[in-house]
Amino acid sequence: MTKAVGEKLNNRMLFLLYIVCCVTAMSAAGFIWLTTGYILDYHGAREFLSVTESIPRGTLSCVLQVTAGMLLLGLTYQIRVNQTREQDWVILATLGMDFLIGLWVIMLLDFNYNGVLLWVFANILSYVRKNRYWPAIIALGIISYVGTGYEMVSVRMRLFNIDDYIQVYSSSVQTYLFAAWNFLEILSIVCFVGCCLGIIANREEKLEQTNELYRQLAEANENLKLANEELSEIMEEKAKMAEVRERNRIAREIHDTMGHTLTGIAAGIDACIALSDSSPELVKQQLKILSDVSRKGLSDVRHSVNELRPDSLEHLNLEAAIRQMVDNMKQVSGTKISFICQVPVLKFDEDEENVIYRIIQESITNSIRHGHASEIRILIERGQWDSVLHLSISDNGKGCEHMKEGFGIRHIRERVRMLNGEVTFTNDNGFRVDAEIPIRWGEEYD
Amino acid sequence: MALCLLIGCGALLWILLFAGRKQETVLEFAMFNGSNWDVAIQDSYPVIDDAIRKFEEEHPGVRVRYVSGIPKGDYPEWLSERMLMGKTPDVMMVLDSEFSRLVELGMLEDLDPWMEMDQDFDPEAYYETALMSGHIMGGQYALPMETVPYLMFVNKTLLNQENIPIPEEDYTFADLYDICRKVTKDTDGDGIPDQFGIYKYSWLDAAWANGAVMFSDDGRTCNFTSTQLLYAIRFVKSLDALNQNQRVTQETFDSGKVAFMPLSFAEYRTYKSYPYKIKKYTSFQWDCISMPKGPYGDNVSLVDSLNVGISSRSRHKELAWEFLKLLTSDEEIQMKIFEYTPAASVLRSVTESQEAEAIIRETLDGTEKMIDGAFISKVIDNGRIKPKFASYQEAVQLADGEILKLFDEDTDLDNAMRLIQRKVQNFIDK
Repeated sequence: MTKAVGEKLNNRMLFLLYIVCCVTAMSAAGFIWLTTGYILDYHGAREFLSVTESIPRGTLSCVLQVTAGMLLLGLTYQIRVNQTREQDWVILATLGMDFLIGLWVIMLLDFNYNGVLLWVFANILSYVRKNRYWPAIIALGIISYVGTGYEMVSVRMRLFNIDDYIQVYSSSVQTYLFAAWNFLEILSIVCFVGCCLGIIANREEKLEQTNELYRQLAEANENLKLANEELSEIMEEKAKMAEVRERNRIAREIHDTMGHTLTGIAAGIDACIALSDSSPELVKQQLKILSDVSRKGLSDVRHSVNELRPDSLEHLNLEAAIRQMVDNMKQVSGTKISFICQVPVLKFDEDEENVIYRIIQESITNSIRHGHASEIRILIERGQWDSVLHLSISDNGKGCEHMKEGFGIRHIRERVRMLNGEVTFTNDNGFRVDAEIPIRWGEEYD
Repeated sequence: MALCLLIGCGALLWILLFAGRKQETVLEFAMFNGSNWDVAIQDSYPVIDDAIRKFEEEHPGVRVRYVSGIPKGDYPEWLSERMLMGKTPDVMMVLDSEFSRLVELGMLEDLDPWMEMDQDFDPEAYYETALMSGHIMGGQYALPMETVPYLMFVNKTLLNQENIPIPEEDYTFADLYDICRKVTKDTDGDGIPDQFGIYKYSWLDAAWANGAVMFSDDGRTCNFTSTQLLYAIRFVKSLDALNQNQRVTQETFDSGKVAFMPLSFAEYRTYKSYPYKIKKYTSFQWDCISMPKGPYGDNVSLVDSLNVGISSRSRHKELAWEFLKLLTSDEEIQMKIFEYTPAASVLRSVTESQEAEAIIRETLDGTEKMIDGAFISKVIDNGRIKPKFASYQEAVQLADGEILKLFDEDTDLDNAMRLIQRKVQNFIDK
């Protein structure tokens, strides 16, 4: 993005102000140094001392110190501008240092030139972002600028005056020197005003940019909302359709299998009733057929239920399916999931496998989604009594103090109840699900 | 860019911090060549050399340095140049003409805190008059090193010739007038008086002796209409009238034809001792007495002191104070001052000591002993010091010019003085 006009103006005016301050402060110190040499050359020291109010301490060291001070101001400016990430404490520290260096330079020049403070405050103002600080900063600026003015300080302290040094020269030279000095002083103020204008323009521009961005954001938000609504409508429709399709399929299944079988059984039973008096032998035969038919029906039902099983269980055994799910979740969510199975062979009836699989799936989902867990442990073992399978899923997440039973939990509970099992949910450095599921170990129906 | 700036700042700081470092402490002392009292002296430096030797022995690792050969006339410019260069000497002799300006510039250290803090320092040891000469704008900014009271020179030979006894110690304006009237006469018979009573006695001398106060301490107001001053001026005018319009000159005086002349103690000692005693006043016997007293005043005269101060920008103020103390309040050094300079010591104990007495006695020509330590002490104690404000010298010159004009005219003194009062007040208001 190209720099905005206000920022460019601000930076240019700041640079100009720095140059003007440097030139003025350093030429003032240099002028005093040179003039002192001139006074010494024509032995006018005593006469000069009867005019001046004070004597600077070492004019050459004053030149060096002022130069050092101005270079330091440039250095702190570079530090502020060149930092890769804008850190508040760096800005605050360098601006504080600038203020002290400014005062130091002003004192070195015996308050003859306090334009350095303009540089310091131009910098401070360009970093103040919150409007509520402005009055305090401006008040501080005005107080320190006026308070370090020569006229103010000379009331309380004896100061040397650069005018006295200028008056050492002949009147024709004096005119030029006074003009140059006044020009530099005024130029400092003009540059400062320029800086302020730059800062204001910069702020206006930033404000405009922010407003524009805000408007775009609001627009995008509106669009997103509409899209969301559309999407949820479509989803709802799709869910309804899927439900209808599923219902139809189940109805067809029931009709095809159960209806067919039950119709056969009902007819067979009717025949048995008719035959019961005349030929018990035939009844027996008939009942045997009926038994076969009902077994066949059962197997059909089982087959139908099979159609509703999870995909993994369709193709894999339970343990492999669980492992695959765990691996998938690990990969997808980055959560550490351990799965320990202390039962040699995980082979149960389909409904049991379904329940176990669903409980584990639901619990992992809950742990990650609600508990924000980073570690989940799954344990399957045979319970105290052989007929019971113990299943526990625990995590290190935040758990939940007031558990609100959602779909997930309710489904788990319902599934376990269908198998006459029990499930408990506890908060124990995380969330923990314990399920006791009675298993029909080795029961065979086929 | 930032790196260049950093290196630049570092180099400057290095120069500022380390370039000026020196191994031993050097204390600079500023003094001028010759005497402060406008008399010739043989050697200006033995006292200071002794003081420096003693100081350096007491403070190992410290050297005191001074620049020799600066004439008194060039000293203010030299000192001003040093100050402008930022090389103000740590300890410096302060001329009266420079004193108030240096204090106003803030170049002299206020010594009051040092005097209070230093247990060894005893302000009572100084003559109060001498100590007060370093007191200005409500503070003690310098301490006196030498002091010189003004005395009245008496031509003993002339008085003897005229059978007039030397005046008593507490003689008055009337006594002086009486003697002057008696001695003013024509000795060679040409009808014009050629022997006179007094030379160089100014209205200021009379004013001091008559208790007149012309300026307030801060130099803001003046008073040229007081009875005391008017009386003093009338008295000097009447003495002047005795000369019958004859001009009395230094030559007249040197030839022994004048009975009295105000003289500083420095001139007294110079012309009473070898080698200068053979140059002046050799044709007659002479000595000094106190100044005459007016009806409103006392036998009071001017007491001048040479002051020494410390630079307020000295980096070794402790040492500077110690050195200043040594110069002004060490009895050994002060005795050396008595010995090598024509002035008196600022310490009562030294001026009144047997040793000082012996030094004065050596100079006497064996006749009548007029001056001793006790006498000098008394004159100093009674003495008045010149006001120290900056424009004093000019204000007095202005008044002097106007008053001298009155001597030749026959105008009403009260009116004339009111005019002078207004003129001088206008001047000091500026």
